[in-house]
Amino acid sequence: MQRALAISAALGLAGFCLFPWFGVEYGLFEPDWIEAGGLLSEAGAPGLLHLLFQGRLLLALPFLSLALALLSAFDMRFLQGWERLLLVGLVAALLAIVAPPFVERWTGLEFLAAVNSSALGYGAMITCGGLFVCVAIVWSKLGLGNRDAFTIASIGLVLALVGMFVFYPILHVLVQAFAPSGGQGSITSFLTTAAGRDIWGLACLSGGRSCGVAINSLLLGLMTAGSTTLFGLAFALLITRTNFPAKKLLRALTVLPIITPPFVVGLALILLFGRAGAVTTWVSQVADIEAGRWLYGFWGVWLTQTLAFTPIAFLVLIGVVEGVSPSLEEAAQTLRADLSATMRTISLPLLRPGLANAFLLGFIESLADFGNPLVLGGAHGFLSTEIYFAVVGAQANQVRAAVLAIILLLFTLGAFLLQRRWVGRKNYATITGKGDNGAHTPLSSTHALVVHCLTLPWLALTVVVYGMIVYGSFVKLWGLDHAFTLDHYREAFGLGWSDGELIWNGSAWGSLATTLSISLIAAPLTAALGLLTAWLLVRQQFVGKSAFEFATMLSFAVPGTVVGLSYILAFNVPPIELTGTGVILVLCFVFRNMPVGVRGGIAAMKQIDHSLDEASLTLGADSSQTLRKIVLPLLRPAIVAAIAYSFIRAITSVSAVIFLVSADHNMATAYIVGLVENGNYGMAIAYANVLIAVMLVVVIAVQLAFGTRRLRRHERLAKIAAAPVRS
Amino acid sequence: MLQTPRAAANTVFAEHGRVVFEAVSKAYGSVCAVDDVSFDIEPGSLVTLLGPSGCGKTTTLRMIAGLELPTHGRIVIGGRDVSMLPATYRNVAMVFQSYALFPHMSVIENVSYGLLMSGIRKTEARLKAEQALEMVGLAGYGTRLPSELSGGQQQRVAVARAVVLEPEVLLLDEPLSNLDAKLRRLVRDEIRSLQQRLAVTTVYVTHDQEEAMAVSDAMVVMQSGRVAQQGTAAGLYEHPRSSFIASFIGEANLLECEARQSRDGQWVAMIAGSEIAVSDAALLAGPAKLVVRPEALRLVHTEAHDGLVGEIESCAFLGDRILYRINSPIGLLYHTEYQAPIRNMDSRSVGLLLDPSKLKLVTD
Repeated sequence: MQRALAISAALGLAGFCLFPWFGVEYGLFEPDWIEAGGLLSEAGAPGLLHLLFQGRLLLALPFLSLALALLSAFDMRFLQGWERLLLVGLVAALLAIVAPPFVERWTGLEFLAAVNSSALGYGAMITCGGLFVCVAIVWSKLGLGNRDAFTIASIGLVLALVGMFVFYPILHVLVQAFAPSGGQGSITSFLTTAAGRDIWGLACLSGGRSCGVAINSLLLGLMTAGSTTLFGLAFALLITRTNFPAKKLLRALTVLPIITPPFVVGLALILLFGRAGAVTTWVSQVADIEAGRWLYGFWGVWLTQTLAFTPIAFLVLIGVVEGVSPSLEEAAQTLRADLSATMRTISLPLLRPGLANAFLLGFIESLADFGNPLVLGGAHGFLSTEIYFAVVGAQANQVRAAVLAIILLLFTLGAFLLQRRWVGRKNYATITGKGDNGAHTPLSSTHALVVHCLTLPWLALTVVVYGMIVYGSFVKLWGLDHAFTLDHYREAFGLGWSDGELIWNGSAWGSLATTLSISLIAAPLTAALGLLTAWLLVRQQFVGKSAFEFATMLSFAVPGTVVGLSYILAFNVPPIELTGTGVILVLCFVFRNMPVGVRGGIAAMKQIDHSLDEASLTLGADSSQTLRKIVLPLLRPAIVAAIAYSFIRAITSVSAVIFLVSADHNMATAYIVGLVENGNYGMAIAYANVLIAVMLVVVIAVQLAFGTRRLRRHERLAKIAAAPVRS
Repeated sequence: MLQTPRAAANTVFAEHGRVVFEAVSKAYGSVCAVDDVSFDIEPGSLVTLLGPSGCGKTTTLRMIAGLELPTHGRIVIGGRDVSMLPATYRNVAMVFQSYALFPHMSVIENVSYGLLMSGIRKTEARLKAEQALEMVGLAGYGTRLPSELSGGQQQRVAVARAVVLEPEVLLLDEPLSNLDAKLRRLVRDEIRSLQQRLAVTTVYVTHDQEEAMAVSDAMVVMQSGRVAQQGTAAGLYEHPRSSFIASFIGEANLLECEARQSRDGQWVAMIAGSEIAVSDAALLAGPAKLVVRPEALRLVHTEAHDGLVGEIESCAFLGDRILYRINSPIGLLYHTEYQAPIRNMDSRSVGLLLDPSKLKLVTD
């Protein structure tokens, strides 16, 4: 008997016979649903009843093929010679469930009465899952492609999920953007909207009013990329090539932007340079100038992004700067090059691909940034915020939103492709396996002066900004009444006691609980999917692998705003109806952050000798056992990092979720943005502080609990030595 | 379709332990790593796959393991066609060049891993693993981590982990390459005696011809993806079929020549006008290479010699022997002498005495 095949076929049949086929309005265990008739009501009927009594004949396919699979699992002679037919049947059954709702939605045709216009429900999902695993098992038994069932199922799963939750939604944006309107054909209609002067206008260059949003975004992206790359390089050089005293502290500072919600820096800058900001007031008093509004616009957003994204450029560049082989620099010096000539002729040329990489990443980050333009952009429109306002604003113009989204997507995809095609190849592999004993050449005094002049002011400003973030949350009314107060925290996170019961008075508890629970659900799923994908990419060979890798990495380049828009366009109507639920938030996080897990997993897995996997295979373990017993234990640090990072990204994310939150499922960042829009800066900052504190605690706890793997003697001895102390 | 491959692999065949390659090829895209390779390995014997790096010997070994599947041809192990069977389901165990010990598992966990994966109960697996460790001389090392062992000990663990499964075929991928020179001969002999004690069919990959000649019952020499020649060590040494084999197995001077067959069937090599009789030729008449092994050449004083005369260009003192570089009318010769120097102190000329019964002609 084939246990795996029997179980998955039985599961599929159970889904077919025992669960409601279409989406039900309430949860499965809600009394309302059972009162309405449960499985016997029309809305709640399982697939079997639909097949028998509603004439949905296509549903015979899943039932028959699952039954056949179950039979052949028990008696292997049953289908001798007909296995291929079984495989075809199973695949056809999957299509029979999944395809008709989509065909019906796109064409409006009724399809053999296979569907009504309800969303697919638990029954359909479970049946599909069972069918999917059966296909993988039968496929591997047939020896097609020489893979075991686990690998086939994994490849299929990742492909199906990425297709469903990355590409399918973006397809909706395309369709929306090219929707014919006002008697125009689809292309003309798209071009009319896309070529508008409000998008491409160049008035600001000739000293006129504002430019078009695309031009604004493009200029901002280029400037932010330039400034962050410059500062990032300065910091990388400061750490590797000077004897700056507080290098460790500097490294620790680079963690801050990762755990800071993106718009918080913008908030702090408002407290400093805004109309009622500390610096603004002081300057206007001293110099007797009228308080300006320069912060609310292009330059304010640029300043904020430079502060917020420099650490990202730094993290890219520090690796490259450290990777330049010291012996090359030493060789240059023995060839009569002085310090600055060495830097100019050897180090910088070797750094060029790294600099280009940091520049393109900065460009993508800047274009995708939503929080800062929203907080500071004012009348100055940028693509990401314009998309949002086109959807939620008074105009509610989804076509315009879709067109803008396509333009934004083209920009980021262009940068992404450039990064991969051009920079990816030009990699001077300066890190070799050989021991390199040299020391990095110090900077010449001129270069050192420049580096210090760039980095020290940046550092000072960052310290002040984070000081503001803390201080501002304890001040009554910024700019008017600087008395110390805990009111903001009390208002957001107040607790009361009444009739022996704890009352969650604070207005922010709801969104905080949602944020934490959704992030906690999404984080392990993200890590699992990311690492599974990484495993497939690093350890498995299959046809179309490079396209597969490209597809998974592509979602990295899709800006959050575009993701948010595509999700509400795709999942607002059957067959997959998810808007307003927590599920859509979880899915959004999983597929937004998956590439981070993939990259981390690829990097970690490449360090694990391939022969370990092969040894496990030759010792009789199959690929899922090898993954579980060998690869995963060795990957533990990478897994922990992936979970922690996706948790943090889920909490700090704002661009996509702002489209997807609902009254029942509000997220912290969306809530804070609401506070900012109402001018309630004190509470907004207080809430942001709480988020930062929560993330710090989680990161440190995770690091302490699971951070290291014990493979070497001294670690084990340390553990043994520590044991008696504990007991 | 639904019989588990593992169960089938455990069935005992009369052919148990025989490995047969029938015209096997492995291509990566347009690159052919292994090209039309055939051989037949006797049950219980140790066969080395020998060749320079990149010759396809490791790919061949990995195809026996099931880590690579052939693009063409048939692989038969123990009478059963396993061409398309992945590694998990083959009754084959492998010792990796890097040992591939799982760094997060103790020695005993490493050794019992394969047993547990084949569904053997924990207590029994542990007992067998301990026996295997004892067999390789590592009893009592079970609780250590691989990183706490020396290179030689790690290698023994890798061997124990493979043989504990009592595989039909044991595969060794350059098992000595990570050991220092002094340890190699010792470990080599241990592997050979263990293999003979267990009488397990063993395929051993190496690029070191001396190592190969020392351990194997038979050798398969490969060159750019093809089998250049196979046979016993003595057979390959004495009857090389190509200049590649002649130079790869043992020391040899290869001299450009023209092969000719006289009327009585005797082969001769024509070099620079002189005619040299040879005992063995594996070719047709035409351009060829004359194989001059050290034992086919003797250096004599020129006074009592009226044959070939060469000039010593340099000589290097290597302790127990002396290496000469000799310029001669038939070409440049390297020669090792184990006796005291015979040349005249005042003359660099030396007489060259060739033994026709030890000279061979091979194709280029």
